[in-house]
Amino acid sequence: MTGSLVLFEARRLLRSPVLWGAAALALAMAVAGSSAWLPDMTMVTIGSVTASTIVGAAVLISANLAAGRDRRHGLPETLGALPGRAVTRTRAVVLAAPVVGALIAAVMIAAHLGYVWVTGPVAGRIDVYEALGGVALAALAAGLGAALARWTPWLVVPPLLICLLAFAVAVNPRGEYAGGFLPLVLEHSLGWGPRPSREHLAYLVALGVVLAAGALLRHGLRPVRAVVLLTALAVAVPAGMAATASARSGTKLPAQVCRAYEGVSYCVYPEYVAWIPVWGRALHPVLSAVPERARARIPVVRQRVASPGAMLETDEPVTWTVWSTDPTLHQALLVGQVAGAVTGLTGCGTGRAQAMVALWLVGRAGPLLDAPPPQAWRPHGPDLPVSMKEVPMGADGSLVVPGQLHGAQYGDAEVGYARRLLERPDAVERVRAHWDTLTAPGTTIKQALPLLGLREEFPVKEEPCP
Amino acid sequence: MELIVRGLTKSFGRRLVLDSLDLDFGTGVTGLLGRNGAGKTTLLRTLATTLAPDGGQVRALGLDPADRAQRTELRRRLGYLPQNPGFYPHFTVFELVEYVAILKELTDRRDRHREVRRVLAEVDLADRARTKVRKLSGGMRQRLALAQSLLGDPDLLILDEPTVGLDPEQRMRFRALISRLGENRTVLLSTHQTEDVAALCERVVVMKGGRSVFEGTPGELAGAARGQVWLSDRAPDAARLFWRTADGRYRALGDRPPGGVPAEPGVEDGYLLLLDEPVEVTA
Repeated sequence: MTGSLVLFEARRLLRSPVLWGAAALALAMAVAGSSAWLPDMTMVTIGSVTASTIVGAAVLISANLAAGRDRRHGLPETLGALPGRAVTRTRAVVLAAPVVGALIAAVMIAAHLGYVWVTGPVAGRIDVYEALGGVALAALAAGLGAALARWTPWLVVPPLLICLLAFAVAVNPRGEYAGGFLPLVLEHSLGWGPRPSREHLAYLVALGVVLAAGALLRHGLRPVRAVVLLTALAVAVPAGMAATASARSGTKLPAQVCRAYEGVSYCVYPEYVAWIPVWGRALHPVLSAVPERARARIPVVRQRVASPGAMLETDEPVTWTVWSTDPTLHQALLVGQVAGAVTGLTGCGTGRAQAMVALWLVGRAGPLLDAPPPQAWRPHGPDLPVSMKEVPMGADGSLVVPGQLHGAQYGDAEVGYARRLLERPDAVERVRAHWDTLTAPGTTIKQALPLLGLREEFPVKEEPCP
Repeated sequence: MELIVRGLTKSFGRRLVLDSLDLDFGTGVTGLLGRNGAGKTTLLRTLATTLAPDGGQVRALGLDPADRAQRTELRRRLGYLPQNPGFYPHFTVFELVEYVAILKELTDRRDRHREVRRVLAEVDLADRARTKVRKLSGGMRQRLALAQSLLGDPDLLILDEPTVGLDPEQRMRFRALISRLGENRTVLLSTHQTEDVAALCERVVVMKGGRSVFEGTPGELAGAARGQVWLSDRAPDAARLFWRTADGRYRALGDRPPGGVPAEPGVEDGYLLLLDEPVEVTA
């Protein structure tokens, strides 16, 4: 009878619009979440599993309703006169719901990973144990739903518990506080070392078995049920502890590999080589406008683990282990850095021809924004409106950089003349012809205007660096 | 005898609902009559093994429900329609009956589906198999509940107020079905519809205060009222029970009213006289 009932419950769950609706919602959210970034499969997998918790929540509710069904709608009287006992009904749910939940979660996660894999230049790697963790999480949720149905009569408990778990995960996104015992840890960074996904998977599977056995124990203490529960507990607790202990244990980052693309050297972590052409294409409008000899000024573009602090440590152009698909974020930072490097622009001061040419190069690669207000250049100043967006740095917060030239100062005149230069069809030839003069540190905008065929139009403030 | 009840006692708190009840039921349809609270449903629940008695013994189909293994075996051979049958509104008609069929140990899928289709056809719900239960009318739900009780062709069928909510046509179909089933098995039927008892039951038991106050055929129950049923043109003052009929005359039970002429008694007359409650009813 159990087999028939398992199949019956499985068929009902597989036809459940709630579960498939949750899977569709989870997939849509995962796709939306991942579409904002170049695909780093390590992070995409975590995002997939995070989204799959929606499936897990739906499975929890569905399993709870299925396991507690015999207490509702006046059915107990009918069921009481049948040879099939309550324990059989519970057993059917704790066998069917985890399988169906796991299957639907697997379909959702696989669909998301597959979609990302075929649509983008993928970096990182799919952590199979992480992905299986999402599948196990849905199965665990089914066991939890069944156990709750058998031990509590209140239908409000499952949604409340879901909210409680979501809160616990949200306030502990890095898993610093017993994160191995959470359903999942939201954030990750390459600098934190490998995630303890294998230990966490073992924990989730064992906990699922604990919950299923716990649901069956409601029908009486039997040796097999007790042994299964204790054995699973004996696995779950150490696995959770191991996952907690090895999280953020720190690691030595892998050695970078260097590749040349359009004359620029990029040194990156081995799993991110696929992103080099993306960066190369972003820099092409800059590099194609400068003389060959100027490219030699561009230092090696190094990849860094996403961190706002890392940005402040270097004046070299850098790429990150996170990369937004929004060209006004990470790409704009890189373009500004390279434009500054190729023109030799550094530090503060206004009225410099270097800054005007650098802004022209930036404008060739993307939108050229108005200059930030003068206060924005003050170091450690208050939060002020600036012309750069806040650039997210993955799990490590975000970065606000004044202006579009990696913090190098400029004013309204530089932006105004750069825009005029962008309008000139002969701009590339003129810049190349007078490159050395234009990029010499002492050349002012006023001196550069005749060389570029521009007339005086905007008031120039020539303020040297204090 | 298929069903033997000896000294059956059941209390809910301080209220004695079954009072040392002794009954025997054989093959055929037996009707249980009695006013609300007489103990009919408690008796049926006890016989259907969903309620444990406080005392006494039950032996059904040669099995003792007090023994766990025998109780399970009895449940395999039992069909039960409770007074307030429950339904899962999100199940389809077919799913609900199939769910019960599985729990009744009909494990072979093909046979089970055939059986589900059979019982749905018996209650005229075959064309509603894919309909969600929540979309069924009250009468259809009652037929659905009856369908699940017929699963597995049970040897003992216990039906608690099965005709509630059925329209006249469905009641006729129901009577035909039950009378056919009663040919070779024990059917126990609780109802407030004396017409159903008169039309269906070979035997009737009237319960009052947890005890059986009458056991016999419907004819015997009606016969018990012979000489106490009258028709008169004026409202009788001294009758134990009377009501105005459609032709404007009064039907009175009890002593002969002034100007009263004898009337042919029915099951209802016998039942009402047995309960012995003075009531005035006008039609």
